[in-house]
Amino acid sequence: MPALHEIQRDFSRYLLGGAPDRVAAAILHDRLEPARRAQVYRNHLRISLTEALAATFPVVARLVGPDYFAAAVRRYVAAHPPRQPVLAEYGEDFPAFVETLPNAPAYLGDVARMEWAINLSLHAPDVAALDADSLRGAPLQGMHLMPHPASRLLVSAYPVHGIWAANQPGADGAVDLVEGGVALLIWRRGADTMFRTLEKPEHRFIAALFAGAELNRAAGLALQSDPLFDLARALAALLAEPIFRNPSA
Amino acid sequence: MTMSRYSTRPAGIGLRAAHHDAVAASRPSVGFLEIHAENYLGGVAPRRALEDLRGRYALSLHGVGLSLGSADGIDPAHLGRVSDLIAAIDPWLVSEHLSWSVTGGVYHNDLLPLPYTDEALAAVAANVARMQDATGRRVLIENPSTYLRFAESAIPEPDFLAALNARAGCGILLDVNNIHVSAVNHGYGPEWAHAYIDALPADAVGEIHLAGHHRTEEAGVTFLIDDHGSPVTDEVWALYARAVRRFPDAPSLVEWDSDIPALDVLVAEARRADRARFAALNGEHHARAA
Repeated sequence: MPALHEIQRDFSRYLLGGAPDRVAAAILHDRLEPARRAQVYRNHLRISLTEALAATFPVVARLVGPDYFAAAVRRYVAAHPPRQPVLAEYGEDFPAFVETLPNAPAYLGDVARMEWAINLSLHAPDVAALDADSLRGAPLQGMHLMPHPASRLLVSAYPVHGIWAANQPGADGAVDLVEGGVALLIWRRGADTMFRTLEKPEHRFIAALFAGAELNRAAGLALQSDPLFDLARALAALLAEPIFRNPSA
Repeated sequence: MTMSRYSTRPAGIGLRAAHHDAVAASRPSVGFLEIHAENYLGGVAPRRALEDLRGRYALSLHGVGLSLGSADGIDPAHLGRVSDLIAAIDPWLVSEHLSWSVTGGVYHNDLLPLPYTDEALAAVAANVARMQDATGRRVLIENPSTYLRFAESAIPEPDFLAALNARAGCGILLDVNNIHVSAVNHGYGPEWAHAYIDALPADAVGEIHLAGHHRTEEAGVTFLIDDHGSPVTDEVWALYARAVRRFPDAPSLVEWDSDIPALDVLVAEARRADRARFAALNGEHHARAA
């Protein structure tokens, strides 16, 4: 008589794509083949995880089409099954995985990275953000501005934001790849995730801050790429949105 | 019989994200809202929607991912997140399932069947006890719909639930659609379903679930899929009448999870449950069913 953990281990191997033999041997044969009964569960797992990943990566799903997406998910689930039950948090490895798929467009991985960044932003903890008022009178020397957990930077050699926008519901999908690469700031305002493109100096400034550099050092890096970089203006624009974390709240 | 203070509560509805805005806008008069715990563990939008609703409705928190049937035990991290959510929203009811979904650290996103053995009973009872200790709540455990039975199962499912109630002190969430789905899938007649309801301890059932299912054929055998995607069927309404007579204190809930209709349709189904409950408790069927 197989122990409970053996039944569960055998069932798991079958659900993730293995042969049905061991699990079928434990199932009562009643009018239907045991493997056919077990298959109801495997079909449900595949369909439900395909739906879950299509909800997190809708643009990837639209770009490759439903059959290709379902086949890709089947392979992904076997290699990277969910490790916890909150499906909104499933798919961390999907961007790198889709880059390995045959006949996929070169930008697919970066589109998936943008969708994953949006997903992380949506589901990040709700902590207090830094605004201009809370900085008033504070010495700028040696100051560190840390990202809000919902804030992300994304860099791509492709115009992923354009590809993303062109593949929203109702859009026609037309994109001009000649636009070239992009740096994006993604953040959350209220319950909505926002993004905007960044010029190179501002990107260097924010990337340095997010990496833990002090304000003066980050501003210095921005000034290296543009001697006319306007620190006060860039900072005011960033503090007008909930982009940094308020460490004292 | 002790009367529960919730005995006159109208039927509730399972709240899904598709209906958040419509419920907030129209505030339908339903007895309570049931939410899936795993949909509210991350993200600000779902939690804000909940904050808005919990002042107006009693909430039932229905877990789908704790995997109380796991031989490995339950994931302490996930149990901690569910406990924190319970502390934050103070739900009226807390429930989970007689099933498993996790083994070897992999989550299989389904309510998978258990062999009904003494070993499984000990494992589930220990996991339920951990959940109740961590959350400080008496948890209602729902009977599953199943598509297979394990050859080594030795304990009838209702007896397994009754033993779990006795051993862990948990309550029972009786899903009458699940009883019907399992009965058809395993070739049992309605008398099996009736005996199932009669075998459960009368004071243990703290909630009744209603939902629709999908009828299909597998190799010439009628097979029911528990997809919660259609109205409740006549066979299930008949089981419901028997269940509310046996468990008159238990509040009822209608679930709809696929092909989700407009909110009005779901609320109308809850109203139908209210009428069916009233008729079962007061009508001519009462005498006939005894």
